[in-house]
Amino acid sequence: MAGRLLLVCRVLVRDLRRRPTETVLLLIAITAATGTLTLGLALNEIATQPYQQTRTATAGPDVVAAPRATGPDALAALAPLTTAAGVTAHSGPYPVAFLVLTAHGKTAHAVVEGRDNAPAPLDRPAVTDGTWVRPGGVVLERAFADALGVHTGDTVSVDGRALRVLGTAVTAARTTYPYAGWTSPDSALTERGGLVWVDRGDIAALAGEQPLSYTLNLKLADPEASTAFVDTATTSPRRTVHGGELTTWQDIAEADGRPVAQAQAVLLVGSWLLTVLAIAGVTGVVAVRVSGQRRRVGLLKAVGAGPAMVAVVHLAEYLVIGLAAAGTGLAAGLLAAPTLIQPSAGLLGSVNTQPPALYMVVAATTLALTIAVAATLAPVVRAAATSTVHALADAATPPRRRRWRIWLSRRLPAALLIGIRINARRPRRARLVTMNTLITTTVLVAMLMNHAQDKPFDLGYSELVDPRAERTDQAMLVLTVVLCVLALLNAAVNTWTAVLDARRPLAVARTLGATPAQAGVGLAVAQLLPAVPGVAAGIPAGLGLYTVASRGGIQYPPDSWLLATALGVLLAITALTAIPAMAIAQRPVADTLRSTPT
Amino acid sequence: MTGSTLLAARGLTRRYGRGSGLVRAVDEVDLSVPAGQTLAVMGPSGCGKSTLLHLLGGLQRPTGGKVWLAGRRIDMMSERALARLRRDSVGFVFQSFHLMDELTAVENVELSALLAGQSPRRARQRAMHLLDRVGLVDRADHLPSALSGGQRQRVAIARALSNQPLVVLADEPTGNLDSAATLEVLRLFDDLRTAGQTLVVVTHDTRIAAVADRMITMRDGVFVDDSRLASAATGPVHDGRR
Amino acid sequence: MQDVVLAMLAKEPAHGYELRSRMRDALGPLGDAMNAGQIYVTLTRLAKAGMVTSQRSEGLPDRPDRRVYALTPAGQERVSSWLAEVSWPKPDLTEFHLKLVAAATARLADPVALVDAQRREVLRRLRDAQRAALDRSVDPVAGLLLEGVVLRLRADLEWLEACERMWTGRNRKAGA
Repeated sequence: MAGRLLLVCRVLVRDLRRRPTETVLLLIAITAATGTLTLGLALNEIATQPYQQTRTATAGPDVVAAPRATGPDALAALAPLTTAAGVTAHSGPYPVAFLVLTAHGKTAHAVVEGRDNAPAPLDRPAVTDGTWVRPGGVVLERAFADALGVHTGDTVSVDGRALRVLGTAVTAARTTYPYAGWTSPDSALTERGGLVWVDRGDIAALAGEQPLSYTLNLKLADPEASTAFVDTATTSPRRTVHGGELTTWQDIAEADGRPVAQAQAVLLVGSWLLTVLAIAGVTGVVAVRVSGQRRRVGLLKAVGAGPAMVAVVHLAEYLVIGLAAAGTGLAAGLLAAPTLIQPSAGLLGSVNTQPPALYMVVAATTLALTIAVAATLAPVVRAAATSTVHALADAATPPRRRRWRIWLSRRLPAALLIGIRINARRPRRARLVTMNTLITTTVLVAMLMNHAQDKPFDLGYSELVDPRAERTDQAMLVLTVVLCVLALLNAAVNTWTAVLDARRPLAVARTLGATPAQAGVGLAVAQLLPAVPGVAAGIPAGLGLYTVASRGGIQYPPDSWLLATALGVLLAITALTAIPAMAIAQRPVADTLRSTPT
Repeated sequence: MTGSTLLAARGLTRRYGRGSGLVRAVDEVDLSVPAGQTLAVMGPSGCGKSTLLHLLGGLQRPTGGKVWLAGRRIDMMSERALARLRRDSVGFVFQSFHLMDELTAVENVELSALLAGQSPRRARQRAMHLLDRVGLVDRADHLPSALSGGQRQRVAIARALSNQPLVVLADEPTGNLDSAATLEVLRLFDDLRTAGQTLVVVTHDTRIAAVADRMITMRDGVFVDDSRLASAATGPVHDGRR
Repeated sequence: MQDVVLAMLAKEPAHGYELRSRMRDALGPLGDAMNAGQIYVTLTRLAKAGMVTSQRSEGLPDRPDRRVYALTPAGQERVSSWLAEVSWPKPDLTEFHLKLVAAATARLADPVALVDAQRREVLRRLRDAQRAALDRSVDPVAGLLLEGVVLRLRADLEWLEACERMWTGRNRKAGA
């Protein structure tokens, strides 16, 4: 057994070293898919970790009570909660007013909370810039301040009263901008808005006519039992608060994660698209590689290796590449996550995704191995099952003859003729080209769709940056970049193998009088023809994908954009093919005929 | 030097295609090779020699007839059993050497020993011994690309001997070699013959006559001639210049 | 043979036995078949023709032959012309070919059987020559001669195969 293992390892290592380019290509293709998946999964961590850190740093409450009642009614409703079973500490109740803030000409809903200058036992917002509240000043929640473009020392007005910005802070007791829970006093509707803090003494003057609401922070003996506590408090016969008036810390954490949820969806859907693309790419490389290894299959069988051993020797290589790619994908995804997708400014702390969670490792590894196996199993099994004699003779699958295509091509100009015949030789490769362009176009069109959306983001009176859209855009950008790199790589590999394979027929065509230009253009046509249906199908696929993935009214990008995308993809393929094709076409015919065995 | 029948075939037939495209590569061949004999199967290319060799070594299944190796029917064996048979009882030598380009000479030689489940250390010892026997022990760590054609074929022969096979089957072993390299390989076959190794060589190279105990000629899938040559050591040496 | 002996004397005068052993070395295994007396017969003929002269020398006591042979100017001349000569011994295929034709037309014998017998004979010679070449102790220069012999015989075998194909085809046609 040790001997066989040694043999498998030896062949594996030598093979990987002998073909470094292919190994790197395989690694990149699989890494792109696993990396994107990891990035998508890491967003979970990005959503939850900063909240946890903020909660620890600010002594975040376990349950926040905010009755809809106002004034003394609210205080009366909150009072029993401070002594309810399971409550170990509380802070507040703090007065809250739902007002309007204007800064730099922009107006937005502001949840104004009155606080004391002294630190509270629960919910001590962490000041990230400037100082904490003093009479006559205001502290803005950091994400809100960022969205408004407000800095310490600026002056903002709250319901017409000018207040100096003392600083910015973050809290775990309320969801960050834009989900601070702005509730219009005369409607049941909760709207988007940001949180600001003022001195408790100032709030009455700011609120003016508006009755004050109150909020109470509670600490429980068992923070995990928060949901049970809420259930008891809102369903007992002597309840003073009602459903929806108590919020657990888990609810806040979930709401804080909402801005990245859509981005996560984009990346997860994207990682599936990338998986398909990676399989297409890996299949292309593996097909070339395995056909190059046919002779070795025959040889191993002749010296007495059974089909299983042959399959193991060949699969092992791709499994190792798959595992390596899982590792690099994980590392790349985790390293890129914090820089590519910033956590909300409304939370503290950095994202620390090392070491990765077990489920991420499992997911990335599974994906990588799936890609490796999906792309390699068929050719490897086919190779292992080939008759030894055939394999030894190293007869590559002879190019297939498609009668109608050859018939058709006889009636076309020379370049087109050459192109169609090259495709007729290798239909499977043509299919890979179609797949590649289909997926690339799909994602590019979905990206265009995302750009075309011009949704007003209502913040009461003005439109500010939508943090959710911002993160979706970031995710889209990451996805598009990774995808384009992979698609280009796939196209390059595919083109190159096509060029190598077509060298001889092209050389023969040239001995029959085709010019180098005709041969080069013919090859470009060969790549372009299968790309056209891919692009054509990719446009509706991209539109459909975006429509399915997003809710609500959709705006379509102008037709000219779609057309430009389609032409761009085709142009890129033409350029990619033309370069190696011209290089080959310039070589003397005799060299080519000599260097390629029949 | 020769003993009981080691390799035998009765009515061995292999056809390709059907109808008008039917090709009888091997057509009802009867054959028996005694242990220790060196048999040369001659014939022009395309006469079915290679197919015959593949059938005898279990690389291919006959469409008709029977093959025995050391008394066991091999034409009915499962693919697994055939793999084991090739590993343990048959050594192949090919015209184009079929060495693994990424493995060094000694690694190529120990290939079948490792496949047979021998310990890496024993396999290496055996491989070095065999390389010594073919005179290439100083080339053990060279890759095939650094060896001449004759040296590659000698490595391939060493590999074929790795598991002490009952029979070595060689397919045009000198087909890709120049005359000096052919001489090396013929000398090696002569040594094998002297050592009592059963050997079947199919070739169109008449020089193989020098090392064969028996020569048969194949034409269009059948044996047309069975010329038993006297033991080579006897008979006068002739001056061919006359 | 005469030319060879003359050429061997061109460097310096030599004893008959020296000439003989030099020749045997150059011929390798093929030299074993050479008759010991042949060299002396040749030397005597050359002396008669005035190509060589011989002198008695103070030879070793255990050697019966004490003559040292040397080239005369005429001998020298003949060596030069021999070296410049480009004639090539041609293998005599004509006779065998005509034998086959005659056998076929007069129905004396089956030409295919004749070819087969001849093939076996040539194959046997080829085997013997190749066997001699396999001997690792053969001097490489002598080996060259063996290689030439083998190559010739292989060409002959190929021709015989062509003959066999042709006459087999004829027989079949005649039979049909």
